[in-house]
Amino acid sequence: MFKKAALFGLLFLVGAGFGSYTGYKLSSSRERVLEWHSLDNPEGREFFKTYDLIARLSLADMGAAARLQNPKESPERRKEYLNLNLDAVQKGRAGVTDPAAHTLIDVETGITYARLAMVEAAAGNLPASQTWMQKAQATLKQAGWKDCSEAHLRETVQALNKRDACENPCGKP
Amino acid sequence: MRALKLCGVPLASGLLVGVLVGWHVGRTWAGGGAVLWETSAAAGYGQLVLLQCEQADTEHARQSLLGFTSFSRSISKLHSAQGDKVLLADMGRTYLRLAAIEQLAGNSSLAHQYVLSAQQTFKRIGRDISEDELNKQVTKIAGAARPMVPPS
Repeated sequence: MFKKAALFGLLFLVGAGFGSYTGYKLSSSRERVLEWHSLDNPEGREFFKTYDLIARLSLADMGAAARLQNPKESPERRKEYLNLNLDAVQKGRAGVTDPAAHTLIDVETGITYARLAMVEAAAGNLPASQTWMQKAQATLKQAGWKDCSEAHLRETVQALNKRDACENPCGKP
Repeated sequence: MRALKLCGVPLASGLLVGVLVGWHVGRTWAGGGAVLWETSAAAGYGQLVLLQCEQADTEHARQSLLGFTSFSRSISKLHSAQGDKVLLADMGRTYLRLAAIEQLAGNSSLAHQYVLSAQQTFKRIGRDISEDELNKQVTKIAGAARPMVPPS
C-alpha cells in the first residue's frame, strides 16, 4: 500500500514537473507574441533595439545612483559598476540608428563619465578624475548642453544621484 | 493494462495540474516582466528628455522632445502598454513643451498644432481640457524657459 502511494506520488510529481515546464514555456512565448505582434516589421525591430537599451539603461542608472549614494560601497566597486554600465551603453549604442536616441545615449554616457570623475576625485586620483571630467564635458557639449563647467556637472550629477537613488528603494542606506 | 492505468492516472493528473500552474506562472511572470520593461523604457527615455530640456540648447531640446513623441507612439502599440495612462499623460505634456518651444521661436501655427495634439492625447485618458487652459500651460512653460534662452 505504501509502495503504491509512493509510486503514485512520484508519477504525479514527474507529470507536474513536465507539465509546469511545458505550460510555462507555452504561456510565456504566447505573451511575447502578444507583446510584439504589432511591431513585427523592420521599423518595429529597429525600435526594439532602442527600447531594450533605454530600459536597461534606466534600470542600470538606478543601480549606479544607489551604489554612489550608499556609503558602504567601496570606490572600487563603484568604479567597477560604472565601467560595466559604460561598456553596456557603448555596445548598445552601436545597434541604435535613431539620431534622437543617440543624443540621449550620449547624455547617459556623459553622466557616467562625470560619475566616474567624481568617484576618482573622492578616492584621491586627481589625474584620472580630470580625464573622466574632460570626457564628460566633451560628450555633453556634443549633446547640446549649454553649461559644461565642472562645477555645474558635479551639481547636476549629485542631484541625479539623489533622485535616482530615491526612486530605487533598495538604494536607501 | 492495470499497471498502465496505475501509472497513467497519476502521471496524467500531474501533467494537467502542472500545465495549469505553469501556464499561470508563465503568464504572470512574462506579463509582469513586459510591464516592468515598458515602464522602465518610457520613464528612462522621459527622464533623459527632461534633462535635455533643462540643460541643452533649444534645437537639442526640440529634437529630444520629438524623439519622445515618436518613441511613445511606438511603445503605445505594445500589449503591455495598453491602458498605460501615465505614458499618454507624458506624451501630452511633451506636446505642451514642444508648443512652448515653438511659441518662443515665433512659430505660432506649429505651436497651435502641438496644443491640439496635446488636447487629443489628454482626451484619450479621459481629461477634456480646453484649448485656453492648455494655452495658459504653454505660456507658463515658456515663461519658465525664457530666462534660459540666450538673447539673439
